[in-house]
Amino acid sequence: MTEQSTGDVLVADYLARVRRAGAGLPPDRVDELVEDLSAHIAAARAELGVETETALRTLLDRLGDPTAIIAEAAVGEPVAPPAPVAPPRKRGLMVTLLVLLGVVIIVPVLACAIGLVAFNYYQVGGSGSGVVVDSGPAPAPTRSAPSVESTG
Amino acid sequence: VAAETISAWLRRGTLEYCVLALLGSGPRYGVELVRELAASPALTATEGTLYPLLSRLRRSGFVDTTWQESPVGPPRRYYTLTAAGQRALAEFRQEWVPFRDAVDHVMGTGSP
Repeated sequence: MTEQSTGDVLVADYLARVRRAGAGLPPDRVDELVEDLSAHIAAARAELGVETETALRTLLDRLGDPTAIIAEAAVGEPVAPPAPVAPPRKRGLMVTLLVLLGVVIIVPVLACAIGLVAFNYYQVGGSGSGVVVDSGPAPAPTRSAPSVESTG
Repeated sequence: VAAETISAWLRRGTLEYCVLALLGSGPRYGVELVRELAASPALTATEGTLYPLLSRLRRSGFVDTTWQESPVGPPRRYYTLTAAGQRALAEFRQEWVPFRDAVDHVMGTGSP
């Protein structure tokens, strides 16, 4: 009984060392690795038959130094992911900013242009009063409006 | 350069394919596969270092894993070769022979 708990402590300690060594790796990678290693340990322990502390220590020794396992896990992992990833993201941000700036400039300019056109229209059509009702009938008197309306 | 470093360099890029080749002869569970490879000290430093490698092969889609009940303990994770893994293995075998021959030729290590 005490043998069993000593074994569990040894295994827990080993896996904790793996986690500590893997502090610089993506957490999901370390989780997966710890899961694989604990599955290995559990299966190998089950195959031991009678488990002694010596046998378990040998088992863990064969698995090897946690730092060596983590070093292998770091192969192919981007060691400095912020460096290559950051510039495109900044460029993306720059593009977004430029687009925003463009919108910020174009919208008021367009608004001013529309405003000016509308203002001119009122000035010409509505003879200065600027009342909406005026601008509608305004062109009508210039043409022979009553004859058109009588036919319709 | 230490001999250990040289063998580590040589293992890079070849050990993956040794795993695929082993799985080519049938599925194996983690402990089984790892012990078979670690039996050749020239191929493996320690058993544990093979798990990150297996994880890479899984992510590349070269191997697949399934959990199966074990008669003596917790469920075992079995590794199988995928079709992509088979193709990769075939390509490696094609490249390996001329590569090995060329290195042997230059090194003077080829068999007479």
